[in-house]
Amino acid sequence: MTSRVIVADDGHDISVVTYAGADALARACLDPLAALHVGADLIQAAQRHLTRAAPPDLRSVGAPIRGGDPHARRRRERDAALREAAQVLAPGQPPEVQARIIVGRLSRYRRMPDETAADRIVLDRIKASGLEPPGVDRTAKIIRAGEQKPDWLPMDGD
Amino acid sequence: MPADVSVTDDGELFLEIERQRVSLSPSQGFTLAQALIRASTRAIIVDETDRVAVLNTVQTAYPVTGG
Repeated sequence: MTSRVIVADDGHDISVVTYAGADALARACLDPLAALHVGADLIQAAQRHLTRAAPPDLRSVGAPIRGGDPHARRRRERDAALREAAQVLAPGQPPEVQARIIVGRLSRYRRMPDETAADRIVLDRIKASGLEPPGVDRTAKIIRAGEQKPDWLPMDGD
Repeated sequence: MPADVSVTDDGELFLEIERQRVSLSPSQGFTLAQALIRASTRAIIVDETDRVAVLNTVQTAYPVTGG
C-alpha cells in the first residue's frame, strides 16, 4: 500500500508520521532545529531531482554537460570525501578495512545540526553528494585509486 | 537523542523515519519541507516571543535607572 507522510504540529511538538491507509507506521518527534534541517535536506534533494529530470538547456547555465558521466563532479567530490574519510576514520589501515569501516559508519550516519566532529563532517560530505554510497569493494577501489594518484584533488577552477 | 528522520537520495528521493522508507516525488518533498519549516519557524518564534515577554516582565519588575 502506498505510504504518505504527514507533519503534525500541535504548536508544541513537531512530529513526522508515515501512514499506510489509516494506520500510522512510524512516528518521530523533531525539535525545531532538526525539523529545519530535515526541511532543508528535502529541498536540496528535491531540487537535485528536478535538475536531473530537466532537459539540459534548463540546467544551470554555468555548468554545461559535455557528455560522459553527468554526475562526474559530484562523483569526484564524493570520492575525495571517501578518501578523506579513510584517513580520518582508519588511518594506516588497509583500504579494505577502511572501506568496511566507512560503509558501516555511513549506513548508521544521521545528520545532526551543527556538526563539528571531523569524522562526522566528512561523512556528511559523502552523504551531501546525493549519490548512492558505494559498497565495500567499490569504496576500497576508490581509496586505492587515491593512493596511486596522490594528485587526485581537483585543481582550482576545475 | 537524535530523531530518527533522514533524507536519502540514491536516484530516488526517500524520507526515512524510524527505518521506514517512504518514496517522495520532488513535489511531495517540497510540500513536506514547507510544512516542516513552517512548524519549526513557528516554534522558534514562539520561543523568541517568550524570551521577550520574560525580559519585559523582568525589566518592569527591576527597571534599569540612571546610566
